[in-house]
Amino acid sequence: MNILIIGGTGFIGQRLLRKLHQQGEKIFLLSRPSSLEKAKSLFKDLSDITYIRGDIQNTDLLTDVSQADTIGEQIDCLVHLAAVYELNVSPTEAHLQNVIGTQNVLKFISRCKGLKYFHYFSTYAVNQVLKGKVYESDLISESSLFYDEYAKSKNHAEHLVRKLSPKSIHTIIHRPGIVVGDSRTGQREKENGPYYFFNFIKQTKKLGKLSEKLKYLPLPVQKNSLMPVIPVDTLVEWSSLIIQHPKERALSCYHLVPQKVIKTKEFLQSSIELMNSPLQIISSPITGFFSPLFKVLQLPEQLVFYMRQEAILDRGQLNQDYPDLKEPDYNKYLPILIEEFEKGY
Amino acid sequence: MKEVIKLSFGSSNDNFDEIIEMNGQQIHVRGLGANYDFDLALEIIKRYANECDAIALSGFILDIKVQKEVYVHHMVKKIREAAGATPVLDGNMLRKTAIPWALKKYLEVDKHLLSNKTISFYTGLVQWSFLPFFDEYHVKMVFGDFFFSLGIPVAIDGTEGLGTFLKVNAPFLSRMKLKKKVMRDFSAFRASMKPMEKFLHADIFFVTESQLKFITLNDLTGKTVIIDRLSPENEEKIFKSNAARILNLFPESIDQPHLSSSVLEAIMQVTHPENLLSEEDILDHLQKVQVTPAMRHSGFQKVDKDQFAFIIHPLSKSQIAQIPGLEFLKKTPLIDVAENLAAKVPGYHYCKISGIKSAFNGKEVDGDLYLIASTPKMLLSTPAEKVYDSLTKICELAHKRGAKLIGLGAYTKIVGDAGVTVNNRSPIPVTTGNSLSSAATLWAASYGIDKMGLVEKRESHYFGTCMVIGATGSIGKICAKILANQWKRIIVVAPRPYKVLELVTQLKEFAPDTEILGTTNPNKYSSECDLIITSTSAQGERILDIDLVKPGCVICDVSRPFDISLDDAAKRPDILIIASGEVELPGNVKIEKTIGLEGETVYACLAETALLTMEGLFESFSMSRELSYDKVVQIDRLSRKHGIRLSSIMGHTGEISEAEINSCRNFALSKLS
Repeated sequence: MNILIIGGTGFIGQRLLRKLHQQGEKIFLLSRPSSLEKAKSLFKDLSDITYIRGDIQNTDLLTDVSQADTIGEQIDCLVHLAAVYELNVSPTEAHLQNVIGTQNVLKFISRCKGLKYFHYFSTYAVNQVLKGKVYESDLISESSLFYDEYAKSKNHAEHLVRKLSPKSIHTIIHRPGIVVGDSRTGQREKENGPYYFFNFIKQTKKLGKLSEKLKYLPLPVQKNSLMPVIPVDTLVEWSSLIIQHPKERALSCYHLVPQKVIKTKEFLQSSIELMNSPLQIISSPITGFFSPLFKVLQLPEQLVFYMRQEAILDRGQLNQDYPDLKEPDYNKYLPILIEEFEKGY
Repeated sequence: MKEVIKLSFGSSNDNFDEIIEMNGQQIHVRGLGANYDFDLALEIIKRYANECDAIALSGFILDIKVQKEVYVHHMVKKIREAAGATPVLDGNMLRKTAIPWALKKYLEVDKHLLSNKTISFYTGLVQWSFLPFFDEYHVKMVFGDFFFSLGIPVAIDGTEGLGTFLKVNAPFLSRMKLKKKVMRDFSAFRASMKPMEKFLHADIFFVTESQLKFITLNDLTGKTVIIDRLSPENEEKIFKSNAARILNLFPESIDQPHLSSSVLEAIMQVTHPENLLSEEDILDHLQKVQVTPAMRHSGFQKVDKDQFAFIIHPLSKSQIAQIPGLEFLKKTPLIDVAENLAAKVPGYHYCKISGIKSAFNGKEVDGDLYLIASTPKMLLSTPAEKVYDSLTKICELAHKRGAKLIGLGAYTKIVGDAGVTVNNRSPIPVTTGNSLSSAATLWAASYGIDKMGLVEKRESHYFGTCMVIGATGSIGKICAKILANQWKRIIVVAPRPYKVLELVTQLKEFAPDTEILGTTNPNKYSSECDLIITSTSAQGERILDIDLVKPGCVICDVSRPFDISLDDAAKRPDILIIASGEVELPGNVKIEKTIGLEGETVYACLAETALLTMEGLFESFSMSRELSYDKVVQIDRLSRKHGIRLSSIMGHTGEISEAEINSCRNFALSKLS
């Protein structure tokens, strides 16, 4: 299969690209002209990757528009996982990159004559305010409340994908949970998600003796809060399987989260213990106290949602279409993640 | 390919990419929403202005022109600056010409659309460019700007009031920070709330597509809504508030949901790349667009029923004495005085007719009957101008009481120009009801023929001969056309031979299988005819030698005064003479007071008024003495649709009973044998 990857140099993207390449797929990689050299050096060990200059911020995607028809006829499959994913991204940037960027990709798709499959990487957070069971078919309205610009822009973008994706191709939406480092090596890229939290524990340990006196850590975690973490290698494993064996439906959507999602409190407490800190997490309701606390702790305020989220992500479609997925074992990979984290960069 | 970006201030929900074809040229139109975030809007312009050929704005505050001063909203100013050389269009130039132009098209169909009406504009802020158009029609204008812009529930009266409002507020409004607007809930006001009363009581409401996003509509029961562009969602929203009809000002021939005035203007710009678009260019473009008015009538069941009105009057002196309160006049010599006096009494609300319910969609309508106490003699002897005046007054009264259509009964439609003047002066459309009267007469004729049973009939085709006397007249021609398709042989009679020839030729094309003969002398063929329809203006002169007429013939005397005199009729008991057909309305109809007919039977012209109301067709359907074949056919179809039936056939002296038909038939049979 000829696969065009957009966002192939990112944390997930480069691993997915390697995996698909390793499986014998022919890879086309969209790369900004300014970072083309970087991309080439990143994949210098891989032969026969076709580099295409372009940027999701271009109306026509490609730098050289005259290539569009040729490329459009060549590729069978397009994987779009370019996005900004910092929680504290500005609304303007989030919108330009994630929403309009996706719209530009969709516009390009509409002129791809040979294209059969479009894989779009969304996030489980698109349904941020939903409580209880959340299905893969759910997508809350764009005018709902969102806790951060990332979730909001991804929600808007997924709406666009569902609305504007041509009906003649198969559109597959991947909705990963909170992506953490590699479960075998602990390899990571950016300090986000639970890493913010790891950082914080690390900071308290620097306080020396004082930290021993700190016994309790009040966090806005609820008793039933869930943490749908997924190691990047598991995600790549699942996504590449989906990309290579797509279902012939007009639209599919998958929650790429573990079958059994760990409770947030449990996850954080285990992490603290693994980092040899004596702290005990206590659940606390949100008060005015958290805003300055988070500032001091250098945690983005938007993290509060991710600590409190209680939605149970239903995996019905994923289980039906791909029944034999290998589940990550958090007891095994969490120590590896922590160990790697403590090493620093 | 040329590219246009439609930047809307609203949500990015509606983002789109579309290729639009205009005059053979393909243009890529891309919709980008700024999610009520001005920084984002500006950033989008900065990033994409160079990649497109024109920018169309939507949802921003347009330039406000007060007298000679133009206030440009600071955001729009910045956007125009950021766009650099790329033209930024807001659609105002197009709207200024296109909206009045589209309204004119509706006015061609419905003359009464604007006359004496009050129009409420949810906001006049963006409509200043075409407000002068409404001035032409002496329309009362009310503006909801105070509430829409500032949340203060006060209606602004007239353009002067709006001018003052803008003068005071424009500098402020142009500096106001534009943010996600709060929904303005116009439905929150009771009609009794004084400061908004004027606004809420208007007949017509003007709203634009972009305003509608921020408005909870007030109760629009029975109202007309004018909108610059109607989407299916908005149609639903407007009809949910019970509006009776919607006038869409956007050409429906342009079947592209994302094309708004500003986008259309931008497209015109990119097809005119040499210089900035001018009003002249817009005129050129508009001349190429086909616009057909597309009025949308509510299909929903309304809470309030549509109402019609109908004017009746006593048909004879003796009927004056039947008017409740005037019974004592019966058999007194005072009756002549009373006839004169009564004619001077202004028309008044006589009674209600209720319970009319369409057999098609269950839509219920009510009617008000108005009475002027003039006898035919008085009506015809009073100067027409005076009669017009009293009829117009009733129309105004009916309009105030909520009627949307008024019908002229009996002789009120014969006076002067047969309704034309009254229609021109009335705030609501007027109909004479003549179309259904004609249809009903033909139903009555068929009924009579069937009951007499002397003509062979197969699959509603009569194997006999019929004759139309006065066939070149308005009603005669229609009867001839309709009968030509129903009868084996038809004879058309008119006094002028060349007109007869012309009609015969026309009918032959129209009904090629029918034998068609023309003559100027009805007596030549009268002995062969099974059905004779007379519709002449012979003014009582004898036109037919009754002695020659075939026994068992059915004569339908449509002329007023009658062509067949009572004496002639008495001579031939073997001939069935029908004057008209009266009809029955569907539903459980209740008329509070007598209108001189038995039971639920009503005049066909009243039925037409009710029928048009059931159909939601508020127009001057039948007007003047001219009738059209198409309208008679249409009213015939509508009658069947809504369940209007022939209930009785009327002779010269009243209803013809079954027994009378039977005796007529027996006379005929004995004569024939």
